[in-house]
Amino acid sequence: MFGFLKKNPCKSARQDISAYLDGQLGADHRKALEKHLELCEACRRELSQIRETVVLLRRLPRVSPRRSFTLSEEQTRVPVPAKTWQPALASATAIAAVLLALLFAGDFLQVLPPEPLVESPLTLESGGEAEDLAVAEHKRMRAAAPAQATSGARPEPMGTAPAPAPAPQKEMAPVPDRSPDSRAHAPEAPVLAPPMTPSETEAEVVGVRPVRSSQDILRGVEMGLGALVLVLAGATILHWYVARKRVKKV
Amino acid sequence: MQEQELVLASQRGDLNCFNRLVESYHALAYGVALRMLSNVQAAEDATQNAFLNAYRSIRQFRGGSFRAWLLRIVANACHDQMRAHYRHPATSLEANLSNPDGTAAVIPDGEESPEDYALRRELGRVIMEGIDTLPDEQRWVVVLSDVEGLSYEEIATVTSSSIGTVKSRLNRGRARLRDYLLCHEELLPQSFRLCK
Repeated sequence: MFGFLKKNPCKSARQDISAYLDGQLGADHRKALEKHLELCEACRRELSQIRETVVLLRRLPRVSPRRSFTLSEEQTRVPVPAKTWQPALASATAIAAVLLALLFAGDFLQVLPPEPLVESPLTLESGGEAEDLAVAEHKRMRAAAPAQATSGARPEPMGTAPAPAPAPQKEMAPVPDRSPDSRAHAPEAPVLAPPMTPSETEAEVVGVRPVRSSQDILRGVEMGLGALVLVLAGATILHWYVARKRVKKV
Repeated sequence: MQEQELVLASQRGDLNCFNRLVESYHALAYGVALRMLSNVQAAEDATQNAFLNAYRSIRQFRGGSFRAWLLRIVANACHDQMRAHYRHPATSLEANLSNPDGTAAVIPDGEESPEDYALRRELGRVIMEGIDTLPDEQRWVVVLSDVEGLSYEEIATVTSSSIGTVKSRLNRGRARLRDYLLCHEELLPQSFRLCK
């Protein structure tokens, strides 16, 4: 019933024929094969044909090369490898990427202290709507007569032309009439801010100038490094691709 | 100088000693390359490259069969040539048996008649055609074992395979070649035809 599962003795014998001819078969296998060959004519024929094939192969005409293959000193010289920028580019890319990663990590962990609030001198006085109006009025006055504010305070340098006469302050608001009659009808005039001294002017100029924080610098460095990493990575890949094409062509 | 002394001297950088090794093995190396590549120019290139690589890596030879070690380098050089599409079909086999100037590359046997020599050449051509039909791995073991006479252990070294694999491939390669030769039985010797 299960005969088809038995190993075919001829198939097994034919697998051992070459090794048997070459004396490479173990003692047990050799005895089993010789026993089978006594009984099976087909396998004996197979053995004879394989033996004759081997004989023909061993009698093949020998071929002789038409040239010598001895080496010269010049042939044995090791060629100097061409200089390549690949390692340098790859290293530079890696270093830039690591620096960028460190900056991002520092930014994320807030290594740098937060920037303190910088207040301008104009906000140091008491707050309120009157103060806002005074600030606005002061700015309007300064825009109209900037020369008077600066020339009236600074000493004239030697040898320079005399300063022009101060222009009348036409934009100055009228002095409020404090008589009891006018007070009832006229609205309260805005309180003028006192004219600023040169030091205050300069301080105001300093106060409203935008201060570049370290956070902004960090952002700028991060963007620069990121761009550098992209450029270096692109150069590395392009160099590798060109070198690979060159090797294929050879 | 004996082979071992030549090898040691070559490992010390003596090119003259290495060239003596080249002269000892150049026919074997070239014959294997020619049987595998079936092209004279490709076989010469592979053989030259093999000897150059062998000189550069001779310090890595740690003993054993120098022949097997060298033929492994020849096999690698042949694989490189195959990858470069130097394998030509069997129509170029005639070039295997003659030099470009028409002189025979086959070494005649001094005692045989011209007719026997011609018959042997023709049979050789048919056998080469049959070898060319074998798959690469079977062709290697058949050429190394039956044409060049290497042992199973040496063939295993050259082909980087086990002895069991060598046995199996050799068995299949020989049977396949036998089937091919039976299609040209008119060229086969009497002893072969009697086996049918």
